Order: sequence, then C-alpha cells, then structure tokens
Amino acid sequence: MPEWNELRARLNHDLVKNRLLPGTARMIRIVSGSVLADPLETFDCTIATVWKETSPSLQVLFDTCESALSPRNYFLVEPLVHCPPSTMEWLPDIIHELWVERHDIPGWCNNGKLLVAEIDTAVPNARNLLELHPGETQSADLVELFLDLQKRTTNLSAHLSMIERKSLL
Amino acid sequence: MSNKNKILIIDSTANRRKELCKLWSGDLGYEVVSSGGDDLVNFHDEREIALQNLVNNPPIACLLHQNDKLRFDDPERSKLLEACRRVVVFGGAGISARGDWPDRWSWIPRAINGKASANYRQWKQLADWFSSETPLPAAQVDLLSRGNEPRFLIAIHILCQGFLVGDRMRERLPTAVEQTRNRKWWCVPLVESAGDSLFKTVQSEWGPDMPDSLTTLVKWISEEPGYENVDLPRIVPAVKQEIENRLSK
Repeated sequence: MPEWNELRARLNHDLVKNRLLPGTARMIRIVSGSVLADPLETFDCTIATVWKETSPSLQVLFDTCESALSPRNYFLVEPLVHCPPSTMEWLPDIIHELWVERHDIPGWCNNGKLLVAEIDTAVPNARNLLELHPGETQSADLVELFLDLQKRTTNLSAHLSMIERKSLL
Repeated sequence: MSNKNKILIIDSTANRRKELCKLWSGDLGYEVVSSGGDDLVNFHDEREIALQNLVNNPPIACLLHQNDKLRFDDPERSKLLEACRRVVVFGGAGISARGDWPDRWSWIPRAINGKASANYRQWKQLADWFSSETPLPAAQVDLLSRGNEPRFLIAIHILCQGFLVGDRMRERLPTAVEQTRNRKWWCVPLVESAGDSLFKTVQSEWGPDMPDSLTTLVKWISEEPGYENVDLPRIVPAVKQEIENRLSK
C-alpha cells in the first residue's frame, strides 16, 4: 500500500501538478501572444514528452488500485496475520467487499481511466492543430484548446488527490 | 561487560538525542551510548567513553542522524560504525531518499516528533530486530519498510466490522456470529502480535485522549482486572466509529 500511494503522490505532484499544469499554462500564454516562444517546440518539451511518460504509469496506477489498497492486505501483516484459519476463511473477503461498496473503488478507477483517455486524445489533437498553424500566436482556437487541456489536467489532478482524502478503512 | 543490547545514538540535535536516549534506555531497556557528534558518553551516568574502548567492545546497533554522518567519516571514527552489527540512519523531511551509505545500513525517514514519527510498537520492533540472532527480514520491520500506519487501530476496526457483519454472514458461515462474540476473536491476533504491550501499543497509535470505548475494549481484550464483562454489542459500534473519526483526521 505505501508503494502505491507513493506512486500516486509522485505522479500527481511531480508530473501532473509540477510539469503538465505549468506546461498548459505556458502554452496558453504562448498561443495568446503574451509570451514569445515556438509553440510546437514548447508543446513537445512541456506537454507531449511528459504525458508520454505519465500516461502508462497512470494506467498501471488505476489498474492496480483495488488490489493494492484493499484492506485484505492487512491480513498479510502484523497483527491480523495471526488470525486463525477459521477467521481467515471469511473475514478478509467480507472486509474487502464492504470496502469496495463503501468507497466505490471501481468507480474511482474507471473515472480515472476516462480522464487519462481524454488527455490521451487531447494531446495528439493539440499537436496536430499546432502543426496546422505553425508559429501561430493570438489564436482563439488554440487558446480554447489549451484551456480545455488545462481543465482536463486539473480534473485529473483533483481526482488523484481525492483517493488521498478517502478513508482507507 | 556484554555487548548485548547496547546501542550508540548519534544526533547533534541535543533535545532529540535526549528523547531518543531516554526511550532506548528506559522503555526499550538498552544500554545507551550517546554522541552529539564528537563526544561518546554513557547516557546512564554521563561517563565519557574512549573511542577505542567502544570499537573493541562495540554496540550491537547504531542510530545515526543523516546530517551527522560526516562526523564519522574519518578512518578512525568510521571503525566504530563498521563494528556495529546494524546501523540505521534516520532524519530528513519525510522524502524517501537513501544516501550514499554502505548497503548494509538501513534508513528510516523520521525518527521522533512530527508527522510520520515512529511509535512505541515500531521502536520495540526495531529494538527486537537489533537484538535478535534470527531477525525478521528488514522488509517486515515496519520502520525499515517505511510503514507507519496505525496497524493496531486498523486491525481493531476490521475486527469490529467482522463483529458487526456476523449476522450478515450467517447464511454463508453459520459460526460467524459465535466466533466474533468470543474473546479469542480479538485477542488471538492482537495479543499474539503485541504481547503484554497491547494497551500501550494501541495508546501510542491513538495519541492523547483515547476514548473510553476503545480503552474498555482493549483492556477487556488484555484481560485486565475490572474489565471482565463488557457489553460488546454496545461498545463495538462506538469503537468502530471512534477509529473512523480518528483515522480520517
């Protein structure tokens, strides 16, 4: 469980919050004309390469969430590892069932995967549009596009933070 | 003099060093040699100890603050750390980062005070790991695996849930209700793990102001005189709720 949480915290903090969100903010400034820089080059450096690194790890994170966070794991360590076989026969399973019901863990994972899929689509779309308008700044369409990408990235970050606040019980 | 249960604690922050020395010499029952970085002092009587004497008769373990490692880098003083069976570096702001240390050294993110501090049960486990001739793998030692979850509170919460869903399990497992009404349901895992220190362990995980319901349940589990009879159907839901409130803070 600590490893999964570390991965979640690292992805959210190091990549989504500290690189992707500033990257989208910078792109908005560039395509709105308030900062002078090459849009495509900046996009590749600040968003495309970072997302390429982040997306597969997020997929793994959501795929492994239920098994990694399940309270069933507490029966593998002290003190519940000492429960007798008559308890082990049923308690870990019912505790897992109750936990899944209470926190809608599959729902959280599915929503996370949807958010990743949205960004998976949005990033190449944004790149295509930048290629169609090389060097273009002060473009309303591009500003709109990066505002949308920023919103989706913010939603992903909020979603990743949500599990932290969820009781693990 | 035997080397068994002697520990060297190196920390240039005097208050924290004193706290650690008190813990290891008091509750954990170790003979403690304290160092602020330069000196080597027997914590019990404040007697100075010569470096060579300690190298010849080394502690079984050393707790070393990561910022003070430099003070033991010179060839003479580094012999002391080499002579200790186990060296555990502590400190830092909680960010996982192993330093440039020998592979056999271990590392814990923060030792005392503040978020992610170790609790009594974790120190006790580390103390047993130091002194055991057949120690657990380091990955199973909470502090060394960086686990600092309040596992006893979580375990009690899980056992409370088992107690409360016993009825729901009646069809799947007719004996579930009977199992959960028995003291063994609670004491087999908890006492097996914590021994005589169950109450102290739970209390250290909870912190100050442990609620009456949890106190009563744990004392009943520990078979303390005066707690022979408890009204489980009344107390268990309250304990479950208290733990949920405590852990969601």
